[in-house]
Amino acid sequence: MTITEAMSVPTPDATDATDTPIAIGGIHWRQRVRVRGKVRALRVQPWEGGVATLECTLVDDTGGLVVIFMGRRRIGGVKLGAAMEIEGMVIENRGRLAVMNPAYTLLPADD
Amino acid sequence: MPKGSLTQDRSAIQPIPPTPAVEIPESRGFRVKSKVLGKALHNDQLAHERLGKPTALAVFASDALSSTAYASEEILRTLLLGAGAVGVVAFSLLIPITMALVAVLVILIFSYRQTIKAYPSAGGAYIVTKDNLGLIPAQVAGVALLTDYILTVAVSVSAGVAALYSAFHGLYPYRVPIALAFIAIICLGNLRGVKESGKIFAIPTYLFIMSMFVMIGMGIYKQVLGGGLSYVPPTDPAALESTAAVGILIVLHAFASGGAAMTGVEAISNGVPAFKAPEATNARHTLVVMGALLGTMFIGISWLAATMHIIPSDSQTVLAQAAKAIYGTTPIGHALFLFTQAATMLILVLAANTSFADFPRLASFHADDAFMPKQLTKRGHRLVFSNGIIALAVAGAIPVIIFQADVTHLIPLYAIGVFTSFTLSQAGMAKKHIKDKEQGWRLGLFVNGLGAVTTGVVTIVIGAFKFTGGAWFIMLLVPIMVFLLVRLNHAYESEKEELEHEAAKAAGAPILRYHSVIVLIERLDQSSARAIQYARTLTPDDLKAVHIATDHERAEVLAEEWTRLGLSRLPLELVDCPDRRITRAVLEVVAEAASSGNTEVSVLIPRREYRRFWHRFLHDHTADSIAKVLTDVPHANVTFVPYHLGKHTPGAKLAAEVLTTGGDAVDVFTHPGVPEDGQ
Repeated sequence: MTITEAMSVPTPDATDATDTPIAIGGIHWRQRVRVRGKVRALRVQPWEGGVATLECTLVDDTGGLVVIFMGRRRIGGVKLGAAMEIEGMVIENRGRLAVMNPAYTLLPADD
Repeated sequence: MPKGSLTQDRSAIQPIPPTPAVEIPESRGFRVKSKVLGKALHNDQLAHERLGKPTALAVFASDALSSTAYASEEILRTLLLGAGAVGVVAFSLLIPITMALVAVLVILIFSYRQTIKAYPSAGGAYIVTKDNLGLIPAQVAGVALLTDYILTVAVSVSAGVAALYSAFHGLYPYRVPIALAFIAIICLGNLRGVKESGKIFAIPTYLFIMSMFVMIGMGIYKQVLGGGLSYVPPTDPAALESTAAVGILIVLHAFASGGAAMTGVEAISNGVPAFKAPEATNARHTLVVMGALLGTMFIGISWLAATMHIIPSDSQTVLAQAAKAIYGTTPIGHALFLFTQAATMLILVLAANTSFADFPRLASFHADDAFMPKQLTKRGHRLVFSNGIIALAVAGAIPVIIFQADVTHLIPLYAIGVFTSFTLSQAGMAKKHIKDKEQGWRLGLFVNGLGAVTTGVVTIVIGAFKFTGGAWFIMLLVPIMVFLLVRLNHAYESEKEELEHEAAKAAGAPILRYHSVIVLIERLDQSSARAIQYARTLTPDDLKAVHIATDHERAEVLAEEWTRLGLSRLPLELVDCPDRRITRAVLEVVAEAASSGNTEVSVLIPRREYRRFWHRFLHDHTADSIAKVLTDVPHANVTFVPYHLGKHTPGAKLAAEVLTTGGDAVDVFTHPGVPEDGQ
């Protein structure tokens, strides 16, 4: 087996499709995901160490996850009821599934 | 806080007395109650007033004796005015039927002498039945008796009003309001705690006994020496013309109607502890005297009615017609007539009062055994069973209203309950004799056995003949009530079992690891600040403020203000609530916080306390409804943090005084920069 072949062996994560959004209820810890949802809750709070953090809860019909933007106190367009699509790695934050500093796209409200 | 200041503070602390430093004001409700009902009584003021025999007779016999005011009348009514009326023959049947009822009375008196001997400390039907036949029969006896107490109120008050309008005909249209007013007065008197205090009772009871004996005596005198009593002018001549054959059925029906005379016989056996020592002996003597008086008066009145051919009428009682005929129309005669009517009315109203003494006590027995709501065991402001008294007043008013204070329509419902409980308690006594085999048990067994059989037969007769008249309602009501009480008991028992199951172990169970505190914030104001201040004393693992955003603009303003004031050390969560269902949104937030299973969630709700009670109507009760739904979430605990509006509320004054005397509170807004972790 060549190194190139070894490199091309798909990792488990690589099987997850990240190009089409999946249901939030179906995500797992340590999985790379692309999901769509609405901002259900917004939280302004200090990160331990004094870094301002914007936390929001993104929900769709199947479930919810925490989205954390570090170093930001506010992001234009990320407000209650806003629809967006995010892509990132699912981690754990205080016992809840979360995605930190994801790539995000705001969607039209009527989506 | 630096250590130095702590020691300095400690040295500055002056010892204070262990009583509240400020006067805690009484609530408005309590002040009104104290005005209306009198000073609140303390537990040790529960008077055990002991009654001598003459007073005891007056207290306990008013119910039984008063029934003579309508018993003869009801027998006559059945014979003369009912279906299959027998016409003028009725008057010759009245005395034998009365004698039969008096025979039952004699058996009952002897039976109850046994009961008093065996149960010197309160031997009501409920206790006797429970002891000997079990809890379920005791419920039957109790419920039957309770329904009869309710009917005693209705019947006695209605009959009392009848005595009133027999003398003053103009009052007839107002009989229902007058009856209700009587019930209200008696209820109020009992809530104040009119003890079974002798004098109030003694006078009307003895006046009534006197008036009856004077009337019967005058009647006998006129009959024997004064040339005989003449017939009173018939109020309803048609009633005399019927010539239907006398059948056993109509006689039994009349007998059943007269059974009402026996109600109240059990009162003495309920109240033995109220007698002066030797209680049992005095009670038995009093019982016999009462039986003798009741029997004599009953026979006397029946004799007068039979001799003078008195026909019951709606506007005048038999007693009133007899008194009028005997005393004549002279001024003295009229005065005597009014005196008789007044005495009758008074004793009838007092008879209702007997129910007010017995019903709450019996209901409290039921409730003690967890067969009725526990509220009935609570003694109120004046050490009486206030809830039972109010329940009886309401329950007694209902039949008065339905039947328009008409004794005749109430009578068919009446007496079956009392006889059911007689039967059960006598059967219980018979069983006790067989079980205990005490000295002279054979005689006791005979007496109580005879009592049980007799009252059993009477119960069946009453049930059968009054069935269509209304007894069916009671015969339906009692089993349904017993069924409900048994269900209630199961509910109480299973609740108790669950609550007590391994309670000690549960108290020592490991606590949940995390404590999360959620402060609900509607806007930034003094009341929210109070809640945040309190939340910081709890030192939870996780503390956050939650704002339910029904209006996004307001939410953003709040968030900005939050950051500007430096409050962002305390995270503020804005939760979207596009459907404006605030309680639902809070429920979801709290359920989420508690969902990990290892978290105790405290929800702090700031609540404004209002200056005047009507201010409450200016605001909705979101706080209360939130608290209500949160009780459904396990490990969610709600705390209201009060904020006292206005400077003149009792609470605000109290808070101000506490602050100046002992508080060292730091306002979260005046010291926004003081962090809890001590920077």
